[in-house]
Order: sequence, then C-alpha cells, then structure tokens
Amino acid sequence: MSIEQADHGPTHDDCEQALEQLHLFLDHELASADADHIRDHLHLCEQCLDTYDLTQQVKDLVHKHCASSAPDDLRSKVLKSLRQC
Amino acid sequence: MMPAVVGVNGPALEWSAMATNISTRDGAANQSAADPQTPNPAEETPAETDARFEAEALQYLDQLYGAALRMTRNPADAEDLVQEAYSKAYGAFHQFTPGTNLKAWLYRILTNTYINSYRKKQREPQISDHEEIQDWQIARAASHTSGGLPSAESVALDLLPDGAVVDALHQLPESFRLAVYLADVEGFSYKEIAQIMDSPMGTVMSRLNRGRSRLRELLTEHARAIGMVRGDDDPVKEPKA
Repeated sequence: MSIEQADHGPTHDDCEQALEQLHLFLDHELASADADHIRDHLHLCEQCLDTYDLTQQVKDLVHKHCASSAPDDLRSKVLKSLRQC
Repeated sequence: MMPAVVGVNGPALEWSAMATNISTRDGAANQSAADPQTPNPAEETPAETDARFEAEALQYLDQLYGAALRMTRNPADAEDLVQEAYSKAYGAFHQFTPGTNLKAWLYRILTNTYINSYRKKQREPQISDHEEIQDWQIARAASHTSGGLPSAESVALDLLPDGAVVDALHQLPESFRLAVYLADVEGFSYKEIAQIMDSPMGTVMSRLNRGRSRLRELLTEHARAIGMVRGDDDPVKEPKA
C-alpha cells in the first residue's frame, strides 16, 4: 500500500477504492467522472498502476489467445440439422 | 453457482421484453424495433424466416463455437453443443424480437443448452453463491501487486508459449471461465453477461474479479515453472565472471 503523504498524493483509502474498481474501470463500466478519478489516482500511484497494467495484460492475453474459429464443415452440419427440425 | 436450469421457452419469452433495453458496445444490434427495415415475423413466410435465421443467426457461428469450446474444453462436444443450440434457437426464433440483441440471445440459449445437456457429463465441482460472496469480500481488501518486479512479470506473460493462456483459462471453475470469456473475448457488457448467465450483476463482477486474479496467478506460476520469472524466495544469482 502507498504511504500516506502529508500534503497530497495517494492515500490508503484512494488505493483501496482504485483496487475495488479495477475491473469496472478496465471493462469500461464506470461513469466518466468515476473513471477520471481512477485515472488521476493512477498518475500518482505507481503500485496501483502496475496492478492495473498487469490485469489489463491478462485481459488482452485472453482476448488474443482464447477465440476459436469453427471447423469448416460445422456450418453445413448446422444447416443440415435445421432442415430436419 | 450457475443459473437454475431453465428451458429455452421461458427465457426466450422473457428475453423479448428485457432485451429491448440492451445496448451493445458497437451499437450494431441496437436498432430500434420501430425501424421500417426491421422485419415483422408475423408477416413473414416460413421461407423468409428461414433465410433471415440463416443470414442473421449463422453469422455468429465462429463466436458460439469458441464459447462452446471453452465451456466443454473438447472440440467434438463443442460441435455437438453448437448444433443443438442452433436447433433450439431456430425453434424459438419466432419469440425473438427483431432489432434486439440477437448475439446475446444466442449466447443465452447456448449457455442453457450447455447447462442442461453437457455439464452433467463433465462433473465439475460447483461453487456456491455463498462461497463467491465470501471470497468477493476478501478480494475487496485486495492489495497491490506483491513480490517480484511487475515489469519482469509483464515481460514473462508476453513470452508465454502458445496454448498456455487457453490451458490456464480451462483450469478456472466453469462460471469464472465463462464470465471471463464473455467479457474479454466477446466484449459483452456486465449487463449482457448477467442476462446470458442468468446471474445478478454483483455475481458477474465477483466471477470476473476472481477469475482474472486466478488466471494471473496460474500464468505467473507457469512462467516461473519454465524459468521466465524468478520466484520471490529464489536467491539472486550473481553472473559468473
């Protein structure tokens, strides 16, 4: 957790809130004002930024590696089974 | 816990009413039901309905197969599941409201078909809602990345061999695996995932949170096992002179 600073800078509460909203932020599910608040925090807190970056990276890896194309003959198999409905 | 077992007819009828409020990310399926281009199923001939089903529903074949493969983790079962889901969708197509979210409707049928027909065969351990909520509360007290250099972890994740990410996703419990797939591969919103999985939004968030956290752990463990990331307790090796 970040060390609370005397003047300004991230506080423990800011980090907790940012980590609670990590997935909402990365999935674009936050209202713009809330997302701006998180962005401001990430500019100040490198540890939260690292956590966000790694989670985004895992999300990107799933997107890149986990899609699949159907076998060539599946479309004709589906159409054939529909004709029998 | 996965949604209670429901037949195609129930959710399909229910879907017409609620799906009108769904908007997709790209807005492609978000046309108004009042659009003059929107077909009226009551005025169609059976041949026109068949042609519309083939043109509109079959375009999602690759995506539905991809999801089926992640559900069953087996290409032969995935093909059977997709065929069965399309047969059910075809039978219920008259209940679908044109202009609403067809892709999400098809995914809902695929998910129900999987639960009713295939999951019994696979005997996966189920996670109760009670456990999910407890773990979600624990996850809320999440801390920052701990141990090791985040940059080293990041480099290692990008160098993972082909197949490592799919293998890790397949190790997740079923409901986490599906939520992560729907969000990260298909880009569905939380609201759409909640409707497809017939679960509350909070449960969807919990599944994504825990699923991605576990995925990251599995991928980092994998990278460490093949020597791409140094363990926290490993002694630092001095380079030989």
